Amino acid sequence: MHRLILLQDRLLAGLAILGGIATITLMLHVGADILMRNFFNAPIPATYEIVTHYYMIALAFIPLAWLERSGGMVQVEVLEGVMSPAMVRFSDLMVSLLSTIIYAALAWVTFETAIRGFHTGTFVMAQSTRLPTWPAFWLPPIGFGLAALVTTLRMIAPSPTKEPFA
Amino acid sequence: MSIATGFFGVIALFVLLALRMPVALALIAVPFGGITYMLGITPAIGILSNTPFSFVANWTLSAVPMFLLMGFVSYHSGLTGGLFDAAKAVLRRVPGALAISSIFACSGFAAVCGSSLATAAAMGRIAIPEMVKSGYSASFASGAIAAGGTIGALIPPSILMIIYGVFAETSVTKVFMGGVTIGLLTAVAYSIVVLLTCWLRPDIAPPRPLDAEGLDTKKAILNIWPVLLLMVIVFGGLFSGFFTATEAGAVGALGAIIIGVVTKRMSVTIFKTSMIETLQTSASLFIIGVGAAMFTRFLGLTGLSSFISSAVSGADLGYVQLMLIVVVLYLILGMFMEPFGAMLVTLPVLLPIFRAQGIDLVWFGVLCVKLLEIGMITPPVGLNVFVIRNVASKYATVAQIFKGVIPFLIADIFVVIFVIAFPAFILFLPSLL
Repeated sequence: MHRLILLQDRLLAGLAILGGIATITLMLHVGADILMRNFFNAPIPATYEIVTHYYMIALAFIPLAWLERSGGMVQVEVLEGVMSPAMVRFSDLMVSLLSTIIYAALAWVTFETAIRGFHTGTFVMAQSTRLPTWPAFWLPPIGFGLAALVTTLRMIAPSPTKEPFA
Repeated sequence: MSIATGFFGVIALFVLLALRMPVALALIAVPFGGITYMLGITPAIGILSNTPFSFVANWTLSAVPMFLLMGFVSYHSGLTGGLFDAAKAVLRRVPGALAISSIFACSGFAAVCGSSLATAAAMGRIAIPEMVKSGYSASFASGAIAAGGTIGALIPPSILMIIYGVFAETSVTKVFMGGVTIGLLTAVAYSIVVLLTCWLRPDIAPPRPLDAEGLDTKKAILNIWPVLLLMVIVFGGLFSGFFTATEAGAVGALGAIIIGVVTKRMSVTIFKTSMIETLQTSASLFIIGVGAAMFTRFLGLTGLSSFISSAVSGADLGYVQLMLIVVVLYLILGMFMEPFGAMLVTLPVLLPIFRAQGIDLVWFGVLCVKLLEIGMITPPVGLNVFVIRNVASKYATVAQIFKGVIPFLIADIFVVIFVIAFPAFILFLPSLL
């Protein structure tokens, strides 16, 4: 079990790194577009489409499982103070169970969208260039699926302590 | 019939939240269940499968991770370190100089950071020990910084305002401009609190001016050049039309990193920490946003949104009564919820009402963010108070900090009344655009 959790955390850190790469690329791409547009009058084509359909989707959905594991999901902790430790454990279990169901459902339906997009070869038009977007549609089901795995594992093994942040 | 489903959905949402369900997942579960019940499983699956992608693939939202990165890099690399000294140097002859300086340092920090927690943490670490050393009560000092931190989300950039702009379909730049006014208004109101406290309770806030010793005004002001440069790049470029408000985030993040590297304040660890916090905050925010978008669709389908807006119009509620309800609603939610959750569970209901009533949505964005920020310092869940407790645990307990916040909360009430009484004051700067 310990080895499984260790492996899980390694893999999840990898997800965070991928999310980080998407964030940095977003920054550099937009920065380069501003420079090219203002100084060389040659904006980078399809910047808008690539930012919204690739970087944003990647940084929002790939790190979900890592976020679940690191206790980053925002919860309302009003009743926690009046709950007994046994009730908190029970509530944690129920939350993990419900979360697993929701993530799994999200993974399933977004997966079907991805399959459809793959078959039709979904794309957007950026001025006159065709930008295929179907690969990006695979990111949400991957993110949700991994998050479902993490919440499943959490039902068996305890989760780390949560820290508030905003 | 379906209006009843809508009501039931709102209740179910709050029950799930109270049972410690993550805000995002509760916001996804309720519309899915509700739409399945009303229209069957196929439309429910349709909304579930389309919303995640269509909500996140949003150009304006791309400013969120960028402004977060800019703020976290500025904070962790200490670009903003000199702000407090500069404010002290300028304000040293004013009674309560240290407290007022810390509030204005918060305002300066707010111009490169969009989160009130980071602002409170950054200033708390530097200012509270110094204030306690020179005779302020720990309770008052920590209360001042917890409250001062809320300015971080008022003065642009502001993550809350970007998310509001996306949901209200209104100009983020205009809400930002209104944020300048409300941020400065808040800083002035807090400074008045400090002055009054110095006058009435010199035992908790010593009124004597600061020692000028060791404070070289010129040097202190020159020391904040990295922050000033970043502000000039971001806001200068923004208002001269070089780039848009959305792109300003990327420029700010890039600028903060470059200035950090050039001034040798940047390290791999600092970059990693900033990146982790950026990702955590943006990913958790976006998934809440996905849920809120689904919840909005659900309430629209049940007819509850239009039912409530017509009920409000039919009840002939005056402007003041309507605003009173809104203020009380946010104050109560703010006691228990963090601001993004509180904003995103309420906007689906409130925005249709305001649209129907012809209330300016730029103005409401400013008021809404102000009310949410008050929730950051009200008990029992006041995140700014908790973060101050973390950075200044040597000095004050949570209860003492909440007590120190009280005078600033009273000032906030006056600010809110002012905003409601004089909408034109808030809308003056946005109207210049």
